[in-house]
Amino acid sequence: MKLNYEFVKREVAGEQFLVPVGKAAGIFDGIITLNGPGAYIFDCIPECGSIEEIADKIAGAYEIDRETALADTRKFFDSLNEAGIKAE
Amino acid sequence: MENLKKPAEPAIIKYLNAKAAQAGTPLNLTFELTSRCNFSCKMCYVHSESCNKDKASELTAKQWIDIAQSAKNAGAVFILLTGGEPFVREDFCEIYEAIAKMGFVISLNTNLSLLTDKILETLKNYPPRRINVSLYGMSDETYISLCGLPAFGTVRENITKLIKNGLPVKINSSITGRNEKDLEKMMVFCDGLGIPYKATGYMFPSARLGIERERLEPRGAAEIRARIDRHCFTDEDYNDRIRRIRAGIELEKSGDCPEENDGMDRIRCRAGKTSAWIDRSGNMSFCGMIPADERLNVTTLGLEKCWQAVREKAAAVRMPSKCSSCEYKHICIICAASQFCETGGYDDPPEAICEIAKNTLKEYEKLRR
Repeated sequence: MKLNYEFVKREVAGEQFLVPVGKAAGIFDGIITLNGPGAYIFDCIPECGSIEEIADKIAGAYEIDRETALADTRKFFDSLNEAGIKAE
Repeated sequence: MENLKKPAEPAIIKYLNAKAAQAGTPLNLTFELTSRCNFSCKMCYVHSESCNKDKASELTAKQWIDIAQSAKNAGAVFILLTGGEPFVREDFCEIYEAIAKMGFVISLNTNLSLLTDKILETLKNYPPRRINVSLYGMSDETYISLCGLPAFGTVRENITKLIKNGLPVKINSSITGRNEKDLEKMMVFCDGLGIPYKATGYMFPSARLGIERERLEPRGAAEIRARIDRHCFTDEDYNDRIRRIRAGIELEKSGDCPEENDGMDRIRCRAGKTSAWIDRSGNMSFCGMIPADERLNVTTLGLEKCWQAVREKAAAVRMPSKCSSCEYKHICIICAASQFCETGGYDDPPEAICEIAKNTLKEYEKLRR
């Protein structure tokens, strides 16, 4: 999967966030903060083909059931979607 | 007026700065790409005409890009590109694009007289967070007098070009006796375009150049402060500001040097806590107004070591003890850099700044309606 805008994930003093790069910088003013699972999902995006696949990884990494992982992953992508960031 | 009526910056940036200060991370860096400039402004603290011979002492594009990579590794996120005039560098786009791709939030200072199609295209492809345009007046006559070139038409046209292309513009003005008559016109101009404007009538003496620069006398600088507020605020709000000054209540601070107050006698901004300045040759200091220590060169010593040394220097600064009990401290514009540039040290309060503070209420009163 990939996002329709480019972001670079950065970490400062334990805080993880996305910095928009290229055209995205003109659309998103500033930075997008991430919590731990959000940062993990962001890292999974390039190597996974679907939201379900990412949820499987989340379930393994955070030792939660798949249903919860899928719901949380969908929630993450819904939040991105609301901000105009689409995963394809 | 953005600097007075809106929050200076998002809460997340304040939060990151607080975290970075605790961790000792250089979150904010300024890259002074050159001291060369096509203008010769009479009050400039970086550029004088002799600087146009300084090209050989500038870092190369590759060196700046390498520094940016080290800065990223050290945790820097916010980069300000400045000069001189950064657009005089033929390789500006190469440096800018490489840094932008690394994942920095970039701001840019420019006089905007040298905007080319190539630079515009680069800025459109990698929009900075903000382009701070220095506007020096509202006529060629003023530009010739202050900057040495009839550039007003070009600058105005280029401001429009940036806005039309959706780029975020903020206008800054340094006010001296040569352009103070244009102040209200510049504010109206920015109001009309709907872009933020910030002006200051206080000019730092150039400790870096070591030569006398032009500036308003203290009463004049206080008057500029009052005229800006007179323009920005309603009669009621303006009168309320006078009431607050009288009552000893602090007015809002400028967003350019956000406060991280560790106590009255210490550096009050982020200099040396989360921010540093790297000059054209790679020397680091905690503020660009202060001459950099040539021993702290990032190309030879490395960014991390320079940063640690700059942090220690900044932490050792103590402002004059008299300032902490001064009756004008709530309206005083003093900072560690102005203190140093005015007096060469940190012992005695600088007379010029004390005089600005003493004159502030009087100048505000004159404009009361």
